[in-house]
Amino acid sequence: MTVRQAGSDSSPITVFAARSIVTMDRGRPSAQAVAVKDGRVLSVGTLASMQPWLQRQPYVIDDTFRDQVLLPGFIDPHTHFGMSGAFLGLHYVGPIDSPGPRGINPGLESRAAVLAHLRKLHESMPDRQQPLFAWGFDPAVHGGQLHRDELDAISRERPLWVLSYAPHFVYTNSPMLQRLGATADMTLHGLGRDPDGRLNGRFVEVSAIQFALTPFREEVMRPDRNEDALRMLGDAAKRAGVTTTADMAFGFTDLEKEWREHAKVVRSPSFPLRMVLVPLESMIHKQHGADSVQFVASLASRSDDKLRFHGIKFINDGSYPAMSLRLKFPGYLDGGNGLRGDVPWEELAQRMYPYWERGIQIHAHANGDEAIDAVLDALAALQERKPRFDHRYTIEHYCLSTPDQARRLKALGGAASVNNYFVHYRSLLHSQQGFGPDRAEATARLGSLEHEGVVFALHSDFSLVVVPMHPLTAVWTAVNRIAADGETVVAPGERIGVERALRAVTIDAAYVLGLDSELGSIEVGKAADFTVLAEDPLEVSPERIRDIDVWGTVLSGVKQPA
Amino acid sequence: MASDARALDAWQMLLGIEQTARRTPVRPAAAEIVPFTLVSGFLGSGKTTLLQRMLERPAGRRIAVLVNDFGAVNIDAALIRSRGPTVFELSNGCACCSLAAGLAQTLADLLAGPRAFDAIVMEASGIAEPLGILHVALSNPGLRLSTVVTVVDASDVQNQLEDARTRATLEQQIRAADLVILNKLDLVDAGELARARASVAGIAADVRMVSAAHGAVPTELLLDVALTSETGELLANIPVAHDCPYRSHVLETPAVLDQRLLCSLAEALPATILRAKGFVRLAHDPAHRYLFEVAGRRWSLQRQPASATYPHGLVVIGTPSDEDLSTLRVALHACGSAQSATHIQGNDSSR
Repeated sequence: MTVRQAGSDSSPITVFAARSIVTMDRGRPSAQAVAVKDGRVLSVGTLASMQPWLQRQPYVIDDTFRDQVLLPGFIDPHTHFGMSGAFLGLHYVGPIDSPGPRGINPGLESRAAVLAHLRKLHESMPDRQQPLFAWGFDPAVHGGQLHRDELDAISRERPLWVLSYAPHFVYTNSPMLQRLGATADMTLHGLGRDPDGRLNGRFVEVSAIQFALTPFREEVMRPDRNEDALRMLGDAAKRAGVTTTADMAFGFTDLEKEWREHAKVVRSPSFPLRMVLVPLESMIHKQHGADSVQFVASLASRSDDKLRFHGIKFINDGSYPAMSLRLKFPGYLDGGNGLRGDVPWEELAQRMYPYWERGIQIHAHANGDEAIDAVLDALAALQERKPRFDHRYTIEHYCLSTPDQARRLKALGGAASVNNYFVHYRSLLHSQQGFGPDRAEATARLGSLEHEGVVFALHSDFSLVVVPMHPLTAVWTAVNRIAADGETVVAPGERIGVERALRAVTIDAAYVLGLDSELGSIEVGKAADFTVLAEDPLEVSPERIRDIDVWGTVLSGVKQPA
Repeated sequence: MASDARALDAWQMLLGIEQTARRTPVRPAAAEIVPFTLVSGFLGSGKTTLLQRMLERPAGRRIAVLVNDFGAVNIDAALIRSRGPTVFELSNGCACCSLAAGLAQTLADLLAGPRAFDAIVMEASGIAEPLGILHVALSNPGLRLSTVVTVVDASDVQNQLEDARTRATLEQQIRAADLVILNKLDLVDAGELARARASVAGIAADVRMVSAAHGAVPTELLLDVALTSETGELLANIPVAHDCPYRSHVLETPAVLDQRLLCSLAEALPATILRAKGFVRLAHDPAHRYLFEVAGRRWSLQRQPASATYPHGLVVIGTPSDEDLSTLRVALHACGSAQSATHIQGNDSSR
């Protein structure tokens, strides 16, 4: 909690004047100015309407945003920063655009473009001993395998390491070969050589790649790596306009170690994001057994308003893009089905009950409709045992659902947090592979949830699935439901309006994290967290929502340009 | 679309590697490293039956099996489950939407726990790309690769290769294989089998193929081979199984071998040799023995601790003709190094 000094009237008020402010407060939906004091909203309206405050206290007007639009800071309530480190140390050199921590990485279409990009990266890194790791080189598109000499031409000092797009080849230069300890007289299947026997820097197929992965593993184990990764992801979030995110699998490897890293990085004043940490129940259970709930409850004492613990997370099936979610009849196109989680579904309610009883909010991952049934059954059993009202049991992902499930979710009092990005990125693909047209086209039935009156949020799961962390894209997808071909509207009846979609990345996202009294709208008393946009999503034509420029954010009243 | 899938595979692999790296900082002693076999193939190719037979006839190994999902497979899987505590369901529980991270965790847990097994066999999901799985699994220093097996339905493989939806995955699975099992032999006649073989050979020119009905493949072909009997004798000319054509033969090797010649030989073995294993000395490092293993087209040489006792010779398994064997004997002899054997010290059980 922020320590407030008694009688803090002496701390100055900052009034941000903007072209327009979208508050997400239905009663007072729009404004032109917001007054901030001690990192919280003091008043929203116009300079004229907030005179009762301004007459009594010193204030400054900040018109940085005079031509911009302010919204409540976007909230992505389901990400996995802690698990995303692997991708961040790798620079992308692939042939097609691909989402990454800096937004969409543009594709590099030629060999020359790849080499030029690597050279540029090399020249941007001051420490010449630091290795450079890249991935995505595609010999089919980029004109054949890379050779040691080409990479040596970029640098003979810095170790270079390039993994191919389909991970069948590793390409290295001389300093990396040296670091690997690879010598010409080595006997290793798949160690690439020129006709004269000299090593050509290539490593092919299993044994050789295993050997060549060592520096990457060492990079992953570098002590400061996780912290560097967190900082990078914080910047990525800021550029996407995100001011709060929740890590939905905290403690995946080592809770205390992860806590130390997060406490150090997130609580630094320059870190631009609030983080909510949701522990993974299966790991807690493994370590604490019968004392699990006690332990989770004790975590609250570590929380403050920038970094806090909340809730508990259960995983019940697989993932959408990996095609490991669980479906009801008739299963997948090939007759198969996906994976369940660790806790058998028949035991789920039993396992959840201690948290339910204690009032610790439950988040239940379920991607496919069979898994959604299972988590609804668990919720029903919990209600049967101890009826509760404002429990906020939230189904996470909710990708392939049925309309009757939305109705049941409403009846049981639950909420949903939906990864709707797949509607655009993958619905057509999975009509042909995996799920079939009926289910794939109806991915993310937000219209059904809205119709039944269920509160729902939108999230990216960044970066475990190949979609960007970009709430404007989530909003655009929810409103338009345009598939990857740029034309097909899939399940048009499941589209929702812009206002509802914006709620799902602001106030309703705060709701599923139990934070809607503190965050998610621009109202007196709430945190002064804003997203600063060049245009108003409610005014642009709907196809353009995702293209709106993000200036950056404001966190606790402090400006954070992207 | 296809490139999207590849990006996801790459991300999954990197995540799995990272998760493994976080859990396994230390390299275990050589004796504790467990051989890992991957069995891939489409749903309906007969993978489960193959695994079941393997568990029924484990060839002296204690096998831990990772299967995708008990609930999703047919009744046979209940039999797999009933084999007791060494069969594990590869679950997704701690995976947070990532099969790769789930695999990393399952393997780390298995290896950290009590060792009721000395080999691990994993059933890959039908649509999985074997190489990605292997990179994740093998990034755990407690494992080494034994065999990549791909099970193929001989009666349907040509259709699957012609179908644009299944072709790419099947090609990946065949190319990654050390051994392709042309299963469902009972459903094809000689002509169809020959066409199936040709289809597979068209994807991977010299991949080793074994044909079988109901997954009836000797376990020795799928796993690491035990080289010595309990009395320390090298196993020789013992039929791998009495009702099938595969045999093991022991071949003499020179005292010291030139490693380049040996590697060239390994890559040019006749297709009738499916596996090979032996301990050899190499000219560039004669103080140590190297474990030389061949699985299909893939070979490896791993340096062994100096102090242990090693039998001499090379065991090969397959269906080599007498001519294949004599050609091989000559070729092995030609790998001998001119280097003197005088500085080779003791601990050589047969010399």
